[in-house]
Amino acid sequence: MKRNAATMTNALAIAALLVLSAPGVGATEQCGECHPEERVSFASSVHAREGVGCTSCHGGDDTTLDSQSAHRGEFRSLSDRSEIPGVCAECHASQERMRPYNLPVDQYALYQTSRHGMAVAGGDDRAAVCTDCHGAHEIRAADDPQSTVYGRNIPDTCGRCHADAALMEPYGLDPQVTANYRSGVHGKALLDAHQSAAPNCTSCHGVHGGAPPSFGDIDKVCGSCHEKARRAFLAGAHYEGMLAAELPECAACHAHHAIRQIDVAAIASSCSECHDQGSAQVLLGEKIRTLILAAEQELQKAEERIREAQRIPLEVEDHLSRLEEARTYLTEAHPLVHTVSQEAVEELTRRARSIAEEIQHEIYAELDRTVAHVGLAGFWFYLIMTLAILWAYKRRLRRGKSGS
Amino acid sequence: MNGERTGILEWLSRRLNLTEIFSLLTSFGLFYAEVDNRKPLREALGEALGRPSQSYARGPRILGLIVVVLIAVEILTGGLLALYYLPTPESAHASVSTIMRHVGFGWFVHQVHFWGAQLLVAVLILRLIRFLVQGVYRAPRELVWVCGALLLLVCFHADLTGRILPWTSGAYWSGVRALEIIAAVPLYGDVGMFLIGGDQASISELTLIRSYILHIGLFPALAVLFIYLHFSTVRRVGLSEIAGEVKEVGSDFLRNHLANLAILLVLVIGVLVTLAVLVPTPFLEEADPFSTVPGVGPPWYLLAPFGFLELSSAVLPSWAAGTVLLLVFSAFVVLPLLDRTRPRRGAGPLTLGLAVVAVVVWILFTFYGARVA
Amino acid sequence: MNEASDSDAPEPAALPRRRFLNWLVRGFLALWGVGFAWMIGAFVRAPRAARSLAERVIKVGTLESLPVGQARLVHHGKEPLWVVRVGEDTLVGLSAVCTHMRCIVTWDGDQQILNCPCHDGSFDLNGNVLHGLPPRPLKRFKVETQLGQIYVHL
Repeated sequence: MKRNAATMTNALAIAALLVLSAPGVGATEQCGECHPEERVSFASSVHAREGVGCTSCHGGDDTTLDSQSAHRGEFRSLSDRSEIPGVCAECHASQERMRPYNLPVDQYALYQTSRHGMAVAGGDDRAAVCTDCHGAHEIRAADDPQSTVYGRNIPDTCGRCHADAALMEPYGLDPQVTANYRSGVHGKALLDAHQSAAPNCTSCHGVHGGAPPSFGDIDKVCGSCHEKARRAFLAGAHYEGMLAAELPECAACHAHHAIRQIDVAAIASSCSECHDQGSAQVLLGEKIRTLILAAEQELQKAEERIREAQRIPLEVEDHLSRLEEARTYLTEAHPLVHTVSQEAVEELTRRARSIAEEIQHEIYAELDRTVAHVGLAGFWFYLIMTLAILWAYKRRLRRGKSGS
Repeated sequence: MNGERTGILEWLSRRLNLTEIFSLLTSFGLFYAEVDNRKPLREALGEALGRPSQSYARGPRILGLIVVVLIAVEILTGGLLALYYLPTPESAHASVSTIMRHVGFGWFVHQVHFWGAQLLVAVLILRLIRFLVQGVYRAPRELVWVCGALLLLVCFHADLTGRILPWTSGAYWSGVRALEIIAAVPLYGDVGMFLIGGDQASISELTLIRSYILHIGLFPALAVLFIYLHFSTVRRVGLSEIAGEVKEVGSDFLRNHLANLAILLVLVIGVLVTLAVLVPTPFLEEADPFSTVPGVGPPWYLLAPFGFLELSSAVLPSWAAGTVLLLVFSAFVVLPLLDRTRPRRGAGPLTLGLAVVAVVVWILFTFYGARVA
Repeated sequence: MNEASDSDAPEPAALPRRRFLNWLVRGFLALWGVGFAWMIGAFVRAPRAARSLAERVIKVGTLESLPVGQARLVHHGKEPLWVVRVGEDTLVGLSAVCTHMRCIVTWDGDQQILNCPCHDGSFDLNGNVLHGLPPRPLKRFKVETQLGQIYVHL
């Protein structure tokens, strides 16, 4: 009996030690006992999933509940913001650490070239550091829709500082940029229409090496997506002219952040924003607008004719495929507007128009009921002659009968 | 020349009962005199023509002949269309499109088939009105009326089943409406829906091909049957008298009658051709069973039952309204049994009054149905 | 129904005229039958495989993309064809299927002929056999240009 009780106590003690020494909440990660909020927000982060702990960034001892001993040694509180990029870079600039995750390791280097990085290096601690955009503890992967750096959330993240008028005033930066962006086509596409391919702040300004594109480079940035328009622009008179006048290329007409799509009908009016009314350039703008609008009208008329013909019914597949061809020409003509060259635009609109006119002409000829009506008239003539013959025959019968 | 013809006829008449074969022709409108099958052809013909008879290609009787001509036209044009039509939902529209665009005179045959059908229904209605007004439903001509009424109903159904065949958006949805109306009538509706194999909400592949079979098989056969019965009864009881009519005898009668027939034929063809060329029915885009076209109602002759069902849905349960329709149509067919007053000129005053009321109500409901469609 | 057997006795002098009129009238009326038969015949006659334009005409590319003296192999279904730009404005379309054993012929730009690799037959720019085993010339296709685009009619 006594021996059994002793064995049991021993067993219990061993069990207790084992439990207490087991890895996990019990022995390590004690930081969360005093810092519960941080533990909760860290638990959902991508770092926690990968086994990164509090001490990985903050150092110190996470096995003890004693504040003094926990915050001893290599502990760094990171309350000094300028430390933060370096700390993050300890892992994120290390190729060996990042290779398994296939993450790039140039963020820190790029950051140091960026306006944010240079400001921080120069002692300004109001500029953004890693945690301002990525969050401190609740860091999520960039493709996680809840991440602060997920495409759709980036305008909000940047806006935390860049929409703050008081914060931006010492730098002379416009606090309206995020509001402008939201009102423009890019913002509407990204935020309202949920098109994930639409550009956010980082698409044009760069991610970690963020800086606004300088004059002369704006067309390159826009042209990374709007290739055709850029090529047309470079081939046209606007490129040299705007460089000489120090105008921001694309942004001169389309605005920087509140990107606007210049409606075809508004082409001429946007020209007069820079050029004098009645000048040759504005007239050229009107010419180009007329070319495109006229071609569009012809296409619409052709489409109506085709619909008319379908009801008759006539064979319209040929016409439909020709119409597609005409539409393609017209679509190609739109970016060519940036050449501000009448010849370039006219070459395409002329083709689109001639096809549309041809279609209308052909359908009109097919719809022409003249042949059918003439045929019908001929038939009636024949019919009346036949009736006359039959009636004459009947009269003869009657006369013959009364005669005999 | 004559000797040769006699020779061939002689040869045949020793092997076939030519009189019997000829009398088949008379069953479909050539002339209505009863031909004695036991006599040789010439003798039988001479005997038949010897009796004085009216040409029924004159006066109000032309309505009946127009019906025969139109049915013949429909069968001919329908047979031609059937050479190209494919009765499945996938190919129906395309095959009709081929007919309209690529086949020589395809559009013409199609239009004639359509207008012929509409004219047929209209003429059948006018004919029945004339029967009623002139009392051609009384003994011994009850079957004339019954055959006429049944022929009208058969042609309604033929038009109905034929309408959905092109599988255009208008056709499909007006067919769905028509099915709703049919399904609302008890007994008849149950049998109809059973035969057509469908539910009323959509027209499936099965329903389409059954409609096709009914349209080219059953209904034309029934129409021919009723025409045959009509002429059979006319031959037995004779044509009803019309005041001031001239009766003729022999070859005068035959020539006159055939000349009248020819004039009628030419006129009907003229009307059909004119309609086909000047007022072609449009060929719409292919039907999409998942997208209802607003404002499409049932065919024009069903607008009245449709309007009635719509209006009465507020006060009557649908089976009651359907029963009313069933009773009305049944009374219409068996009218001779209901009005058994003695044969007299014209209709009985009660019948005439009721008929006038019925026609007016029908027209009113047609307008109402067109409005709510 | 025969007007000639009418009871009216015609004057001897008017007989030929009467007979002529009769035939005229009969011919006129017969036109109904003829017209009828013609229409039905036209209807019953199965339409030529009236395929859509897209199946009858192929767009080969722009004129600029095919320099003079070069050829392009156009794939269309099972029957490939060669489009050769012979001159500034002349193009020729030839079937690429050798008439011997249906191998696909290749274009020899230096000699401006088509060679069949199977049994060494060759064809000239008109499709005629230059030498070798092929029994018949190559099928020609009509090629036209419109607005700078090359189209081949099958």
